[in-house]
Amino acid sequence: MAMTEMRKDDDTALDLFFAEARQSAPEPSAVFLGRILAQAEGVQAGFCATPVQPAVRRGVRAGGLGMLLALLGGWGGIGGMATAAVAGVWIGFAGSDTVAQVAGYAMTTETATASALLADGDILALAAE
Amino acid sequence: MALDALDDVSDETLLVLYGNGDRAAARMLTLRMGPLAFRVAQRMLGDRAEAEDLAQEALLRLWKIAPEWRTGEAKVTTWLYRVVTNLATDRLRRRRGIGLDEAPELPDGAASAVEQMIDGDRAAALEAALAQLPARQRQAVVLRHLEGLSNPEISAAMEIGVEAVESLTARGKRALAAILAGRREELGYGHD
Repeated sequence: MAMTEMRKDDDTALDLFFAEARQSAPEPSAVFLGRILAQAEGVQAGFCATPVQPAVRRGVRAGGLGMLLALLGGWGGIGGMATAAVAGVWIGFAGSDTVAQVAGYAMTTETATASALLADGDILALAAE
Repeated sequence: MALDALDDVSDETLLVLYGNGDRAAARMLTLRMGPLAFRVAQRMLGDRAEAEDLAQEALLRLWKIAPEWRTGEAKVTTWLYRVVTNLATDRLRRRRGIGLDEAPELPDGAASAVEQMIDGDRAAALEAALAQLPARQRQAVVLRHLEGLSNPEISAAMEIGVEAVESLTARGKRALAAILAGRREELGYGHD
């Protein structure tokens, strides 16, 4: 028999084997399909579950406000900034003369206090310098 | 959604519905993909318990990938054929303990193993003959001649070129013909 005829013959015979095998395809058991369905539903339940919130450290707020608070030293830092802002507004309203008077008073008071602590001789020595 | 209403829905749409929590889609996908995964695994491995185990592993991957499934890129069945046959190839490789490239075209005693078949069951004879093929040839022959996929579909499932698919199936068929040659008279497929 020629080689090509043998090939054709082989192919025909194999096709019959394939056809037979296709007709008797392996079937899964009901138990197996039940297991697959349970697995599918189990995985699917994970998709629908409420996402777990990440744990937040006590006293630390998440988000932009929390970060800002942390940078400024918490509510205490914010309070200090508010006091400084109010003071700034008052200074602007009262004018620079008042500020100079207050500053001058403070300086005078400091000088007087220091003088009182020195003995008379020491004051003269200080004046000579 | 009722199960009957999903009869005409494509596999891809079902997978999207499944990912969105539709329980009927889970049931319909199980009915469509479960038998496919098991059938291919059984044909590749020739062992029922191992085939069930492999099919379950492949389907678990499908369920997990559902929420990220990119529509329009690949058919669900092609994806599943790829995963099942690749997992089966890995198992066959481990079973034989050698690399696929080193697998002999026709192992010694292949024909005699088929001759030991007790009765004239042609499907069983073919399964025994398939078991003698190198894993990649078996993969190509199963997909082409038992699952009925086209060469381009096999090319996508096996991630190789169409020419490589043609070469694998041709070599696989030649090897099968040689293995089954001694059985043809006995099984009623002798020369006229």
